[in-house]
Amino acid sequence: MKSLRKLFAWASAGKRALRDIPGCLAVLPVLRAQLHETSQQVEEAVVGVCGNFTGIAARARRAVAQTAELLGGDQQDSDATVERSIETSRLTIAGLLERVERAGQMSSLVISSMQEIEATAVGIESLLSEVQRIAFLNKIVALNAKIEAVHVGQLGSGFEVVADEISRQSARSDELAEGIGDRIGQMRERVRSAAANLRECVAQDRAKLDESRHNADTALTLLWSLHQKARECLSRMTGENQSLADDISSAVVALQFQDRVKQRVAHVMSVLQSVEGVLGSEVGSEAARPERAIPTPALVAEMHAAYSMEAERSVMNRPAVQSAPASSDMEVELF
Amino acid sequence: MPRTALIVDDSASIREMVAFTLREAGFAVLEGVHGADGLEKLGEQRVELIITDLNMPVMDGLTFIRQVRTRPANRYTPILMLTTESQPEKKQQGKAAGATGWVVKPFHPMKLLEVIGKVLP
Repeated sequence: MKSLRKLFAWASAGKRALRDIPGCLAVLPVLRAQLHETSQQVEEAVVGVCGNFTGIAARARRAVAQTAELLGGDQQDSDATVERSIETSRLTIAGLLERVERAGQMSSLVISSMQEIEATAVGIESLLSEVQRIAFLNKIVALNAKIEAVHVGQLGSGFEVVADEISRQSARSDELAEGIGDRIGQMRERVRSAAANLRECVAQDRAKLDESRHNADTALTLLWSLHQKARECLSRMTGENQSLADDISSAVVALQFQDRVKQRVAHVMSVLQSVEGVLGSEVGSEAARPERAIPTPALVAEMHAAYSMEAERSVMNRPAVQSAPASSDMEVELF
Repeated sequence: MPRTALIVDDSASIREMVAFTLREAGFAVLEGVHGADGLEKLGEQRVELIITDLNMPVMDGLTFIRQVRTRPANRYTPILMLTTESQPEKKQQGKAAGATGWVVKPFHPMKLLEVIGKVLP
């Protein structure tokens, strides 16, 4: 009696299940369509992300290229070029400053020579004074001779002529000595004035030279510092670009889950379609046979044949809740 | 003149990822969505490398490789299978069809480029 009741309950349940199958069958195509659409949308999203990678990589590459171009081409070459240019500039400026300094030294030598000329002129003036003194003495001698000639009378007339001539020559010598003295005085004044001007110029040049040297050193040091910073920046950017490339590579690996998911979903959809066909034919032909298990061996074989990943096959061979370990190594075999 | 590679895969995302990797390495890239499309894209083009999937609609990877190998110009062109399949018997079929190597997805871009470096003359 108890067994009969059980059998009746089981039959009722089977009948109810059979009644529900058409409803479930109607849902299956919708589920497949949902899976298909979702799979497509995920693929489109992944394609979009990959497109972004291309843009990111291109921008990073462009940024590094532009920085390298700013520094004058290839990093190593540019380092050599800029550093060499800075060193060349430093040497050129040092050479120019040295020349200016040498010109200053030459000017100092010229000033010394001028001072010597001035001293010589003073010596000449002193000698001229002596010449004037001698001329004056000659004049006195001539005057005395003339007096003596007068005393002698007619006999001294010739002597008087000589005395007059000596007096005239003395006056002429005095005039010439005075003229020379004037001109030497003028020359001495001009030399002194030129020496003073030159001395002032040398002093100003020296002050400017020190200032220029300081400015040039500051500018070159700044240039060097900027170059170092630019080089560090380029080096950092290159490093960051490398990190970016590594990150993108990792992301590309991670995003391939979509391809695997898409394949697995396609396989699931394919089998769902087969299940749908089997159930549809069962319901359409005769009453359901509860002893027939689904999936049928043919469906299992179909599923197995469709699988293209070890991960899929392993799901069939292990308890449903257990998940497979993920492998991070890329499997490669060259023939 | 950049080298040209042909990628044949029915997955748009995989084509995009492989194309991205190859373009970054300086390749010009042609794409086919299945074997028959790949053959059409190949046409009279000079291609230095082919990367193909195994399971594709219309024409699968093995048939595609066999067809490619009948072309005198592509007799020695390196062909890599890039697939999720890793069964030894499938690999054997790929080798028999004329594949140069077998790479299991997911691929790592740098490692893929290393493999390409090994198979390119």
